[in-house]
Amino acid sequence: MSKPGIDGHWRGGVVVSRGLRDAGMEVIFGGFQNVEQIVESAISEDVDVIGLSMHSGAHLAYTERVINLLKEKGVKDHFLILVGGVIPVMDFPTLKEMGVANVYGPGTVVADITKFIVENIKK
Amino acid sequence: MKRNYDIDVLIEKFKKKDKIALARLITLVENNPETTTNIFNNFDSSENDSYIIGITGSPGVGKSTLVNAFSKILLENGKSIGIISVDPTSPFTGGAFLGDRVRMTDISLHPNIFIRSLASRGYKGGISRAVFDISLLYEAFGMDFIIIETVGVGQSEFDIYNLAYTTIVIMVPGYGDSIQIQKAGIIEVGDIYVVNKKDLGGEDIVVQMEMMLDDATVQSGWRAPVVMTNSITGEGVDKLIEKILYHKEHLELSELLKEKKKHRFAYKIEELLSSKIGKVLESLISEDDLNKISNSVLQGKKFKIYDMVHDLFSNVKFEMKKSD
Amino acid sequence: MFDENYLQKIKERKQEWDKKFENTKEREIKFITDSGIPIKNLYTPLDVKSNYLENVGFPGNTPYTRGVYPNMYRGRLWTMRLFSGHGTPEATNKRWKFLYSHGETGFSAAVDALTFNGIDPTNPDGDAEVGTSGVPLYCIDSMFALTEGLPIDKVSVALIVEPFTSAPVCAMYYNMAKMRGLDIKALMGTTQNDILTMTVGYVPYKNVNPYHILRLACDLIEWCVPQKNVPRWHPINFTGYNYREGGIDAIQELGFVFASACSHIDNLIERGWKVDDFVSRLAFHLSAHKDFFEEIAKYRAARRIWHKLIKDRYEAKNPRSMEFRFHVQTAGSSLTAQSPNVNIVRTTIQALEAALGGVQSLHTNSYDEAICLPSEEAVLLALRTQQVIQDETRVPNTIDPLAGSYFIEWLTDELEERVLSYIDKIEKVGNIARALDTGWLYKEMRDAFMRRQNRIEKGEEIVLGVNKFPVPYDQTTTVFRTNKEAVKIEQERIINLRKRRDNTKLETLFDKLRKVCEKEENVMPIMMEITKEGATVGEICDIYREVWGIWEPPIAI
Repeated sequence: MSKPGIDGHWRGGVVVSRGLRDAGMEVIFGGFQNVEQIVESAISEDVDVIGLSMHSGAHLAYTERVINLLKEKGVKDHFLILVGGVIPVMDFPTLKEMGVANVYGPGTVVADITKFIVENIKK
Repeated sequence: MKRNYDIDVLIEKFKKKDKIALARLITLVENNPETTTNIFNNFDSSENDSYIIGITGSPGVGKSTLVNAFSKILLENGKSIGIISVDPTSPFTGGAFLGDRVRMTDISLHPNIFIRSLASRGYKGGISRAVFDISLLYEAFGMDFIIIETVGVGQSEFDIYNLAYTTIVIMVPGYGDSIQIQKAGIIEVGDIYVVNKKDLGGEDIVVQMEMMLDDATVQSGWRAPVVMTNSITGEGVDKLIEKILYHKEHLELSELLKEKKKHRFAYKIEELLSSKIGKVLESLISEDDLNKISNSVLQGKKFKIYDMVHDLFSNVKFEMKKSD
Repeated sequence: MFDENYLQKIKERKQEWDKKFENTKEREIKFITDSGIPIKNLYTPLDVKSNYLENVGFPGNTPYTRGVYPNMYRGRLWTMRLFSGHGTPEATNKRWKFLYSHGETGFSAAVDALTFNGIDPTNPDGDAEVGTSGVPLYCIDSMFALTEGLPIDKVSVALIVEPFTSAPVCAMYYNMAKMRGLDIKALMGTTQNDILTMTVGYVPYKNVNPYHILRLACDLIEWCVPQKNVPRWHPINFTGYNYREGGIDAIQELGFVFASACSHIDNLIERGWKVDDFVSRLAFHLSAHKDFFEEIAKYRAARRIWHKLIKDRYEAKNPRSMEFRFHVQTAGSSLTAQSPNVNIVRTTIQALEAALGGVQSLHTNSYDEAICLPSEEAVLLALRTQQVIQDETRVPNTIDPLAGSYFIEWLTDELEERVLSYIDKIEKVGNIARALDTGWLYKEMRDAFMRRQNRIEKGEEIVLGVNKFPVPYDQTTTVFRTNKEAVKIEQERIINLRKRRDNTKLETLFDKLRKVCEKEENVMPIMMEITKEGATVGEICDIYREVWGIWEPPIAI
């Protein structure tokens, strides 16, 4: 779980991380990370899911940069990518086209995220 | 999602120093212990020997920040580092929240460093199994230093002591100083003690620590030093590195390093043995048998618990035999 | 407040009524305020503990329960100040002009995340956030663009920054005003300069330790007020609003606000100033949240507590020092992305709380703010909401109209008592910087947030459209987009500035700043010099980081 950029609204990312932990997952919380750091962590930790939490209105730019770097490293398909935060519904399709598996806007219930992850992680 | 964990392919890439391959091999040894033999067979034991540093201390004392600060200096000196950062798994849900990376973003992109977070996952014998295996992988990868960082709670402190060559115990001034010191005195695992966050004072705890260490019996000829640091400004961090290197030299000169290494492997061997024996036992005794015992205990036979366990083996014949 | 015999009579009648009530049915909910104070079924004169002259009094008289001015809205209505900033200083200037032409009476610049974290747009860490959540104000040129063509000598301006960057941003603003030929001694405005805003409501990006931030905030106060450089400016407003948004309740909001204020006052007293030299220019920024009566009682209690603190603890002599002046913002966290139109109703009710509570300046949220920065249409509606209350409802016709309500007076007393004991609890940990550095405040915030979250999940706290009559998160409003070109425009602005300015001279000035930071000297004089020469906020903050190191907040996760 990571917060790309410098926006300090951590609450959402923390609440979701705690929820996923309580559902029995191991959550690596990265806090503020730039795009290179997010990709490095995902690779080194060999995670199943990359979660990007954004509340700054810069979600399209950061998500695109993360996905491009994953592609450049040839590892994009290794991960399930989820985006959450203050994301307008009209941006959901754009994010999904970029390769995001699912998007979670305001009012999301953590149980829905858990369910989606469990259903979509295949080893 | 397409996930590729073909061992042969990964080993080939690993030998070319590919970090993606290292990451995935770690996943394999962590999640599928049965693949470990196969993976380790690809390495030659004459390969690199890393120097292993263990760091422990209560939550919030600034372990990760300190690791970040002194790794930076080691990196500047051209050293390569593998970090294993352990956080506890919740015994109730099996989940874990691993937050150490928040403090290590600074160094995470350096080409000579590799950071891996590890949940303790309630392994029998503490954190040692996965940590040991990952440390072997780091050695094969050619790391100069391995740093194992763990919350100083319960078993993990002793695990660190058994796995690392230099063990560092970190404390902060201000909160429950006497308890921290007593605890340090009881565990006696530290080769170096650090009092972190200098701006809040801390001279008192240093003096008390020094007194305690003077009283402690020093069997190895090493009197653990106490270093004051401020992991945010970096103050005192070079002093800490100096002490680590000094301890390393002390171990090397006194041949104690060999002892430490022997200890590290002996500890692992013991753990492998008991896990093997455990498996044998599991194959002999069914879960049903165990349930029967616990039920009888609850129905008023608590004083018969020794007998009942003993009886389980009454019809088991042990025959130890080495095949030729 | 009542005659003993008469009270006895009321008591007897009340007992009769109680019997009657016992035979009726009550809804099965907890009757408590948002902060958990149990609420009785009925309030009567028996509940009023306060003595009118001593605890309530007259507006403009101590203890100011009924307001800080004798005439309140009969004289001057509250300032309608809409927090705005987006894209570029030019775009924000256009928005300000739009609002001014529609009757706004105060300006407020919400800066973007790069400005308040001291990051230049040329730094790739945050470049995608240039102008996305506020106005970028990275150098003195931006200040000219922001205020171009606006009467900043007549209308007050709020600079919504953080103490980490308040010194350079204010210095840029004052330099700009001077260069426009204005006398900064007459300049009116407010700086959001509260250490807690950034560190409790929000996680700071590469800031320095709170001890240094407290010093920076106090440097600005000292230079503006007791040293009389910008004496009519409010160099700080204690921003309970921001931490309230993080999930705490009304009692904690006031507790944090006053504990923070006391830490700043103590710092200035240590510098040798008397409390009457500066306290009258300290301002406050509170929230108008969901619990209608509790919020109104909160404003009344706040005035009384401030009076008490300044008079008793600091032994101030000047009554003006004891006046609690405040700005209110309606609660952004009460808005929902689902059915955004309902937000107009929420905001209207919250704005009324502020009006009934005797606010000096008010921001009303736009209905689309749960998903984006406000569009022109939405912000105009937010302004009109205030204008309806001011011009159509006749609410401002009399002063403190709810005083004397048995319930309101009881609740005011109750809040006062609970806030005072919460302040004690905070001060047991130490001053505000220490409460932050030890992580205590983070834990307090985290726990409050989790409690609220839990109540919402259990349905004990109702959020329409979310846990009652839920509607899917669906687009029912258009999304306002900030200018995508803002990054390029701001990068160019900085690049041009760097070409134009005297870089050798600046190097010497940077060295001087380094030395001032290392010593305990006020940073403002050098800040005025350095920003005039074209230093950017990012460059200045990099020197802070270099001298003091980057602080890792002990966030409770």
